[in-house]
Amino acid sequence: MRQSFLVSIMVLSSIAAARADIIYQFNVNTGSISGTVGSLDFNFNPGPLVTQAATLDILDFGSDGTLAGGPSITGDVSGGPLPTTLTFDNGSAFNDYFEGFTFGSSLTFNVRLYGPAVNSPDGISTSGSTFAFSMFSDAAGTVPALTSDLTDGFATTIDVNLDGTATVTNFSSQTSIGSPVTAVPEPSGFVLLAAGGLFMLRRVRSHISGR
Amino acid sequence: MRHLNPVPPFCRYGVILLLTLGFEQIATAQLCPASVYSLHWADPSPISIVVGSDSSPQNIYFAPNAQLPSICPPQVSIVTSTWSTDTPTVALISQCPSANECAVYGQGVGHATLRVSASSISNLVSGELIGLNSKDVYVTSQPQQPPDGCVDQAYNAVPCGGSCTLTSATSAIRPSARLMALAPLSTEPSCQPQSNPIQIITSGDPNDKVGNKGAGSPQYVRSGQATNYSIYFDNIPTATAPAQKVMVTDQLTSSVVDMSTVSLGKISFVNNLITPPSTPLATIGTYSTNVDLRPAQNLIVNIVVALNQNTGILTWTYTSLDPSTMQPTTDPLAGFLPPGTEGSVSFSVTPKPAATGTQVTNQATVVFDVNPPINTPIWANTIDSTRPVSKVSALPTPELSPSFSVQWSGTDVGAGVQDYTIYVSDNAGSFTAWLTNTTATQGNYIGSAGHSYGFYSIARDLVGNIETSKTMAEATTNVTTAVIIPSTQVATTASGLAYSRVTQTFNGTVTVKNIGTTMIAGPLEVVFTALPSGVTLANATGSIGGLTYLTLSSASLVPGQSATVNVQFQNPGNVQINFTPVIYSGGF
Repeated sequence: MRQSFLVSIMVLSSIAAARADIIYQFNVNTGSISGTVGSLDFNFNPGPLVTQAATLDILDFGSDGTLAGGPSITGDVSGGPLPTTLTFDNGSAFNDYFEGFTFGSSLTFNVRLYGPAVNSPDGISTSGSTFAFSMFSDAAGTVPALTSDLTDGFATTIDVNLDGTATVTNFSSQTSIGSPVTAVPEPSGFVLLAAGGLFMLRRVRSHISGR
Repeated sequence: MRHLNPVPPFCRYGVILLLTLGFEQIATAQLCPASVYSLHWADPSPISIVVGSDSSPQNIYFAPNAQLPSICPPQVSIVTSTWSTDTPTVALISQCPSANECAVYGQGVGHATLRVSASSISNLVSGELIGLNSKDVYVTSQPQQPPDGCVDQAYNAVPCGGSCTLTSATSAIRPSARLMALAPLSTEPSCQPQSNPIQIITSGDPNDKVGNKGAGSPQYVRSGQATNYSIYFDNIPTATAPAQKVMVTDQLTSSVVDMSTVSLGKISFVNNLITPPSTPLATIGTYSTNVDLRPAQNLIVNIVVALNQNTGILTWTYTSLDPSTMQPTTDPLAGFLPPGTEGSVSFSVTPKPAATGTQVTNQATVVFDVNPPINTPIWANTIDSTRPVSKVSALPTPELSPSFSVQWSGTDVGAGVQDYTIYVSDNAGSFTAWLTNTTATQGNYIGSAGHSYGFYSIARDLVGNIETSKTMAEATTNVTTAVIIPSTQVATTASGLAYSRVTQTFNGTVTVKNIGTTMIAGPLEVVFTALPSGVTLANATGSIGGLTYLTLSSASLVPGQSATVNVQFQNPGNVQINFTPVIYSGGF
């Protein structure tokens, strides 16, 4: 019984270091440029020093606007095209998805961050990764829209920090970003539940047999 | 080796035509690069050929050390022979069919010494004796090694007699035509030559002339630099008489050389060496001296050197005098230059100032007794009067390290740059030589932090022309006083890099944190080292030592404090962006 208890404590300790995925809900009021033939850009890139692996998904893309199709994809981007889920890995320098878009009244999507840099930061990496979302009022992606960052044209950026947290910088007053809504249990979480269940079961059996 | 061939009086006129034809050919020959090649016999020596084997010639081979140019075909000639070559009955030498092979035919018993050489034309040109090696060929009734002694026509060893003194089998032949004339052929079997005078007088080229080697194949010399010339003349070992009078003339061109600078060099013959005064000949007029050869030889040699400034003809005259009369000797056997001995004269003259590329040529003529004049080869130099130019390449400023690289380069019309002297000024002080006469084109200068430096170069070309002097620095720099903060005192981290379609740049931040226990004095700079090729820092504060940097903070960092700066990279190739940050404390 003592051994089972110790195993349970060890598993519990390891789980304590793990972090959940991070999900942000994006909701953009595009009514002011509704009907504009523009474009959307998403990129997720590593930093210039030692960077731990991270992955980002664009989920649940929805809009009354119209995707132009034929997106331009660079680097480690899989899935898609929108509105199907996109997956970005930070394994190469430039991971980008760019597609023409005729704006409607609104635009929604979720961003999910996960992978070692998010779920189990190693503490020795020296660079994070950054996600950037931009909207443009031209199909070529040169005229920023719905942002105060007219220099770089970013509507929103999300930095994956070295401690596994994320920092959102929002330059778009038309864009609302919801806090993480779902912490999806990781495989280690399931191990924790199973270990706990096993521990409780043995205690009950021990208690019964002791009677 | 240089040879002249005095001809015995009884046959001199008979060979004038042959000599004239031969020398005309030599005078127009294109010279081979004598110093590069040498030829050696490749097969054993001596060659033994069975009599009557002309139907199956004996091939002889010689091996060039390097491939001979086509203008320098190898030749094989007879040096001495027990047989007449005008009516060859014993050995024939064919044309050499390949670059290293000739054939010898044996038609009767006898002995010949063959010589292999290479030259521009069929006759060897003086100054380009290439692999002048001899080989003995014996045609016998059966193959055998030659005896070390005299042989008769049947190639049988016989006692040596007369004036034939042997040291080896190859000297078994007595080649003196004059002795033969004075003591006609006898029936004595030993060592009697079976040659006639025609064979003897047709041997090699007689003289040579050399001048300043100069630089490169055009033999560049500096304008205003005295040029030394030496003229050599030999009496070939197989000659039949000593030379009694030798006259060497050298035609100088007053439009090319300065006659007032003609100075005599050493004069020699056999083992005698005369050193005339170094005073210009124009000052002393004619130089004359007598050399008494007695008691070894009952002769006085009068040497007179004169320069005719009107015609530019410089003349040396050697005359063999009878000591009793002080008149030219009448003894046909007497002469100051026996066969196998050599004489030479030398002088120097300064070319007049001339443009780069101007040719200065010189040729002498040698006359032995009453023989026709023989021209030496032409010695040519090319004037290089152009100074070289050079420059120190621009330096990055400031330099990060007190030890930094300095580079320079130069060009020259004519001979080419020989070396450089690099001058440096420290903190605007006077220029001093840092590197003197160096052939390098870069060096590592070791300065001091906080000092400024200026450099210029002075080039020298291969003939000694020196670049015009300079007073101003061609490249300047200063060494920064900023110091590197060790990685134990700072931690550098960076954000990810978001790509902007508007600026087409990758954007992020770099953060430096003081993880030490002491304050780091500002300003602080981040130097971006080891950036990949094609990646540049678009928002750099500046560059130092060829590296870009960003000013991180103008203030100091206390322990635990951080400072962050935006970074913006241009990366048109979308390669992985990385760099090694080096943090400096103190302003650049």
